[in-house]
Amino acid sequence: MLHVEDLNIEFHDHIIPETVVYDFDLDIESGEIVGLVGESGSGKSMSALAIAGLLNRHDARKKGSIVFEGIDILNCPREILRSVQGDKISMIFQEPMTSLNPVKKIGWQVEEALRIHTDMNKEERKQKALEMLKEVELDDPERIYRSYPHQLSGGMRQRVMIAAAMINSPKLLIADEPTTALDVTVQAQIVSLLKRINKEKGTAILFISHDLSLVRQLCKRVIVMKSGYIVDSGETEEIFSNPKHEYTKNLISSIPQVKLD
Amino acid sequence: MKILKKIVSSILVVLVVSTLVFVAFSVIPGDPAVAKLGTMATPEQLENLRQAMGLTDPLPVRYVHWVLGVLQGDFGTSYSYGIPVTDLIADKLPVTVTMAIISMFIMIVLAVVLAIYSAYHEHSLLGRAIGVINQVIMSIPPFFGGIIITLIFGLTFKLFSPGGYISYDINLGKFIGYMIWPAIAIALPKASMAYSLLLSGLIGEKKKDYVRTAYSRGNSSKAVFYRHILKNACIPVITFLGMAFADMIAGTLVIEQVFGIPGLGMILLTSIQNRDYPVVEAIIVCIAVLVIFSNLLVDILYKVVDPRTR
Repeated sequence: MLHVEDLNIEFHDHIIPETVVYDFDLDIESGEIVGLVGESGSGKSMSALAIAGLLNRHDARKKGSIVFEGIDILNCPREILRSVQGDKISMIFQEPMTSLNPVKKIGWQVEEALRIHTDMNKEERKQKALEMLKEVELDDPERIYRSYPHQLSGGMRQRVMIAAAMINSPKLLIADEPTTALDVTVQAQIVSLLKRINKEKGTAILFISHDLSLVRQLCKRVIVMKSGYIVDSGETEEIFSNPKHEYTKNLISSIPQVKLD
Repeated sequence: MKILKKIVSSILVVLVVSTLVFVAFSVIPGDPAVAKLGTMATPEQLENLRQAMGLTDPLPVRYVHWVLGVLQGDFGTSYSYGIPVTDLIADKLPVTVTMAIISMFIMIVLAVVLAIYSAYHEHSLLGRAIGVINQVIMSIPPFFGGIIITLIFGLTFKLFSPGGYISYDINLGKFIGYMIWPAIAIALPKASMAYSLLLSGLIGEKKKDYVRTAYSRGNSSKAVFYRHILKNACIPVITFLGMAFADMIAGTLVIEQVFGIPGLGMILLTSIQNRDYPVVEAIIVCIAVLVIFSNLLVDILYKVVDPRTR
């Protein structure tokens, strides 16, 4: 479904060009959950933004190919890219506090992708949005629908983001550190919500995180990045039990272990 | 509820302003009776006139008397013109208000249109040129802008006759034709400030996280701009509008001198010279009410645009 090959991302917004991703390869089949792990600055978010078609075309130069269901994300006309964004590929972000427009009602924002990609009328859109809000386990969807972002907690906002991203039942959901800004109990809830969505809707998920234990819970396959390079990739359990690269070993050994006497 | 509170506090502010104005004009040196009769008048004549003007009563009594009158729309009688102040002002107030409103309108249209253009074409030649010209215009005070406008549009292109004026009750269209030029002079420096404010808002908002979210849903740049960025970028400008309106009212008082328009500014000046306190007090109270009312409107607008302030 998604095939990324030899992706190189270079930024030209400074005097000296800077490469942030080298030779990135990734395949995702429909219904799969793939983890992308690495520290800040390892290039994982940049790769994700490139796949979602959200890298600014002016500043970033990209080599290689990103093909999603036969569409060349890197070089296709913008109209084609837009017709995929929010419809077949959706994305949720690290900062639920700032990723929603502060002056628009939640309902309006959840419905937005429907307004752009379907011919549904106002009433149909509202019904669908309320359905989605319920699906992401928000209580009292009617009230949430009429609320503004600042009236909701971080966890609720991330659920709203998921509802908005999932409203057109996309083939691929890119989740860029969706739980990093949330506290631990909410993290676990969001992860199990993503797991459920994947199971029920068959949406493939690219789950980006620096939290290995979350990745282990959620992903069958994992890719480890460091300084722009992929240093390890394979089945999650395989990587955990038999890490090839020194960096992966360090990452795994840095997961705090709870010892029970 | 908050708005009701705001209305009540606005009324209180008007009351405080009126008290200050009344007390201030009662304690500053200068005697209206002397101003009217001249220094050659005999003490008896002055005393008689003071009595006739009601200046011999103690201050609190005069104040209560004045406030009760104001509440009924009676600002007393002008010392120098001898007619009720209310009539005098009711005739001139529309000039000031019309000019300020036209000026406000011109400012908003110019700032919004140009800021949107510049935000869209941030790096284009014209976008940069607007930025430079804007810096120049920002530093032109209205009275000077008024002179330049008179010179270019009045004397050279003959679009209006400088010094001419037609009252609104004679021909409304021509009256507005005469109001537009001074309004432009007042609006230009304010428009350039509003432009800078809106432009930096627009450019700042472009980099916000919610913009990326909007793109991820398949919005075009245009849709992102008009549906997401614009409303957010307007929030800081709204606060500015309230201040700008107050400044514009003050600006009309000066600019009408440049254009020879008989408005509140002219009566205000002569009344201050003649110690015609009822007129001065009435004008100040009217302007205070206008400014406070416009601030109230801005507060309401603010709450409409930004849900976080509700």
